[in-house]
Amino acid sequence: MEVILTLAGIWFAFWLLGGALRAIGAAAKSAVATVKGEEPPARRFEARVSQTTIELKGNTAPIFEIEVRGPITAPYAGFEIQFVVHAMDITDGEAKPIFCALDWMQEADTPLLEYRTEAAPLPYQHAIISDWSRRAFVPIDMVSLPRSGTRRLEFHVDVVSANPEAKYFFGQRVSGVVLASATVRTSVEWAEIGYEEMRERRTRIEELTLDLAMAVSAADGSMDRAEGAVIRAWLGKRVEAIEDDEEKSREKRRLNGLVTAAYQKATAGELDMRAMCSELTEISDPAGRYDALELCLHVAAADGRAEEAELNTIRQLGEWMRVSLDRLRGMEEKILPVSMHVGDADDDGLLGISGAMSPEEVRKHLNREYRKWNSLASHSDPSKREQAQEMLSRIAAARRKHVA
Amino acid sequence: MGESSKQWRYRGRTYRPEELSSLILRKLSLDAESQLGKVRDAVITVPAYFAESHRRATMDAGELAGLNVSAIINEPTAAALFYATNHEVNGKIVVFDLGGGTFDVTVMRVAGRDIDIIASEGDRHLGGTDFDRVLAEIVNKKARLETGAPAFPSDIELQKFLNQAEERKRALTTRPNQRVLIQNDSGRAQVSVSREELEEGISPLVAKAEMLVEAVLDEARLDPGEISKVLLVGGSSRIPFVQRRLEAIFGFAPVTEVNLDEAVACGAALYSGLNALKENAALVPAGVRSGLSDVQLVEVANHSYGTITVSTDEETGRRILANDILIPKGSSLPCSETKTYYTMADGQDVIEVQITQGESKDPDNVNIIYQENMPLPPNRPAGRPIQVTYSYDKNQRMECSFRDVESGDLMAVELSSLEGALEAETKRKSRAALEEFQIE
Repeated sequence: MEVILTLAGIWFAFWLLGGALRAIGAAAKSAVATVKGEEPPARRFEARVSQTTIELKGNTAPIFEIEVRGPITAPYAGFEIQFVVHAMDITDGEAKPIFCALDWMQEADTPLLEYRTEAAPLPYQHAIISDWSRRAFVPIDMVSLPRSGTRRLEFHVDVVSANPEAKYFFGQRVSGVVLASATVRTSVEWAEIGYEEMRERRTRIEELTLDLAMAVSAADGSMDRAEGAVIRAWLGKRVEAIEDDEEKSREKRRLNGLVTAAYQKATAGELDMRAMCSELTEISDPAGRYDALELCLHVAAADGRAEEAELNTIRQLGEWMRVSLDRLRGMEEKILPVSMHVGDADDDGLLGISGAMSPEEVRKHLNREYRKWNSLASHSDPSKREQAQEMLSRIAAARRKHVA
Repeated sequence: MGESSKQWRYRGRTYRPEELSSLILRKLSLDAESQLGKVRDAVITVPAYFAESHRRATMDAGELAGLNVSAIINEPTAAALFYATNHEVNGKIVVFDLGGGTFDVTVMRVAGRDIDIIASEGDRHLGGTDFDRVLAEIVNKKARLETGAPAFPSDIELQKFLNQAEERKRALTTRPNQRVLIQNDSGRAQVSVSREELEEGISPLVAKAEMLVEAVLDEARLDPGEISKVLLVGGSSRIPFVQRRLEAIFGFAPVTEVNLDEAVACGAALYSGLNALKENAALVPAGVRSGLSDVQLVEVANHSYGTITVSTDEETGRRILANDILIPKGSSLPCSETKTYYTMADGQDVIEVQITQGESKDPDNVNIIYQENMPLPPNRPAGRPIQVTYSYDKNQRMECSFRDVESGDLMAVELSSLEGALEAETKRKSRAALEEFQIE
């Protein structure tokens, strides 16, 4: 239910913002009435953009405000027009798209930003907007730029025919008639991480995850076929969702290259796991870190035996990645059940007992563990019952060892 | 009990636990009939920790034995009922029930004849038979050391020893040593087992019981110092080592004056009397009526009950399946809880109704005790409310309803341990197969 409420909350905020912006858009449309008719255009059609804020139910939302002025000439009076705004990031010498999270502020078939006013008739064949007039509002929090830092943006405003409606694809008009257009540039300080940076991060997170999995595989002194199969399956999942064959091949080549590099680094002992964990912690959200640890656990489980060296390595990775060690232990219990553990020297780690705990803390911790596993002793799945019984015995032995 | 995977083969036929249990119940009822005349109704006690499936299997066993099972109650509750109606007791007491195969520990508040169960824990695989095996292992180990051969060359020899283990354990409660005569591949020999050796051997098992005692106190939010009495039930609680460990936890010796072996059965009989009083007081003899008239018993839910929902993982922000608990373990009965959930997708025309039993939030770690699809009206946006109500009564009967608020559509489910799990045809076949074991 919590998720539903959270999502509902986010959706409501979008709806609120969207509704307000639509209302402002409608107000912008009515500004067409300020045109003066039957006069030849005095100036060229032009646009300007500024960063400002709007009030939304007591909250202040930052926006790009796009204003226009100048002449518009239509085939005839009463011709239905729309104002359409696109934007590109031109910082890096090429025009890169700007995406928008609001679906009604996107191009028809892409997530690119496209602000489009409602259709309205131009009262005169030759009209002119004499004063700067607001035509579009782009909520800054809803758009994604390619990168963070100082960015140069180019806004393009078209006055187009509403019937037939002008259509665009990746910012290029593919149908309809343009009656007037203007381009304006502005600079913005962008603190949010950009989508290109996100992509680079994802790639780097993949590399690090793969390197860590290879390091775990090599932790017991050997890297066997079963572990390789787990890593291949993990890579396979990453390409199976790609529909385009060419892109799929490209991605396969890239991932195979990553595997080869990771293998070489692991066998040469060149993997600095602490540094990798540190970087992963810096660039990845918790989900990405748990994904990496999950792959490591599956690699450790591949040969059906949980070697102490592998387990200690993974627990160390968890500490370095600053994830919840209780949660990691829960993952370990599922992927590497006690029946796979080799020997009993590992019981403290298996039970989550750390050297920093006092006997009283160990006692309380073991009682909690006992209750947890005792409730699983009645599970309908026989393998879970067996695992629970084994854990209960080990917990009891740990109590004798640690609690007077 | 209640585990379909467990079956035994005997004379070419496979027997389920409930079928074997029914033979014991049948023998008991025949014994009772020899003293009391025809027995029709029965109250059967089960370990407090028995899950829904185990209780239903117990119900089946009663039916197969030809009994009308009027109630299935928890063993510690029965023991406390017996104790509270026969002794002057007030305050919070712990019932420590270490029997032949299972262990239960219960905390309850007793004020005169008012008995409120506060919390229960238990281990279905901890009891006297485990201690018997420890004793056998000690004997085996010593025999190897002293004779160079194991004490029990075959499973039959081991079973013979285990059949006598009870007596040997009893002897070790009063004597420091026990001599065991063995016949193995090296010939005849005597092996001596000391009380200390047995205590050392069973200490990991007793540690399990200690942890559950501490766990149940935690669950009841009580310190050992707040407990006024520890009541021992079950033959294995006679073991001095067990009693010393309890004294170490509570700071005082447990009560040993109760009839350890029969307290539960006596409590069940009293419970039966309480039921009869409610249903038809005229049938209850006047003496019993006056003895039970002021007894009030409040039970708790022995497990948590919930449903599977889609939730957001707080740490990763990902959507996950989670077991959302409506009735937590330890809730006083009767109780009822309602929660509202919401459909997830536009056009969602069905929800998967799942009723769970277990304390974990992880759906993999709980038992699904009921599962069914509930159709919903089509073509509606996401976010339609579904109201879920669980009501649990004193007789361990739970009613669950799933109501689509907008349409009023309702799916109601009644779960009761007073309904067995076996199909009628299976029961008929079982009864026929068990005929050959009938003792007339």
